[in-house]
Amino acid sequence: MAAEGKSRRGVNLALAAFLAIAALLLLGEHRVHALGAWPWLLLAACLLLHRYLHRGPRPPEGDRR
Amino acid sequence: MSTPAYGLWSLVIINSLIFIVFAFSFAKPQSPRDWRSFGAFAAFLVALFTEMYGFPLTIYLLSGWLQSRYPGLDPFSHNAGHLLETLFGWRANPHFGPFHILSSVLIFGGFMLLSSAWKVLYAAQQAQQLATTGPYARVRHPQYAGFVLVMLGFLLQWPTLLTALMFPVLVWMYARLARREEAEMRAAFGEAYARYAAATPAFFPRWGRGRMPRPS
Repeated sequence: MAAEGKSRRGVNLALAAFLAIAALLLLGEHRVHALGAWPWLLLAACLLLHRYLHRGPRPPEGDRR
Repeated sequence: MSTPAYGLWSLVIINSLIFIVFAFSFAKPQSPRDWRSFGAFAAFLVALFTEMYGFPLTIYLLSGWLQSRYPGLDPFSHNAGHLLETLFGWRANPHFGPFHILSSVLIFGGFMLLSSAWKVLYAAQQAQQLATTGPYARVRHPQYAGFVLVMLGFLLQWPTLLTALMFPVLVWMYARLARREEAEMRAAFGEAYARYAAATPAFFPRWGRGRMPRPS
């Protein structure tokens, strides 16, 4: 069950990070386009989070009980 | 008016992808049917952000009327595009207007519902059991309810003709998807699912009532 606890933490962490990025985009949206390359980093962060969420804290495909 | 409010295609792409990836992370479409509905949700987001930052079709169509009704307004500024705030005269900063606040609550609530349902659903799928805890104790389809809340939120924040037309179609699609899924669950879990379905509403939680007892 340790893996499950870890997975839950992963989901919560990913959710918190996603919500922070969403808040930045929805509330601070005017300034975002003045930031040059920064918004692309937000997108990269989301893709990393997605990878972390689905590859990192879970048991691998073959290990499902 | 130093920077243009539209034609910001990098923002269209970034916003669309971020929200699509966000939803994808917590919805994991599997069957072709899941993919179709997820595709429709993604199309809703792309249409929305295209109008918000790229090409404001709705504003173009309404610009004559907007200018005659609000002579001082620049309809092609970003702020004016928060149409509900504009129409109801909330001029100061639409990002803190009542519709925007309500929309943020709906969007954030929708995504939180999506992710909390995903945790329960994932664990249940691993154990090949029925998901009946967490948000599933309140409603039978928290993930679809989450998607609808997110879309409703975006509709309040930045209404467009296209997304307003897409919204009822998507709601109908989720309702149909939910019915089909229920038939599959009934076939797989039989009596246990029938008991769960009898005690738990499909989409609208019953407030004031306790959670259903766990089926044994």
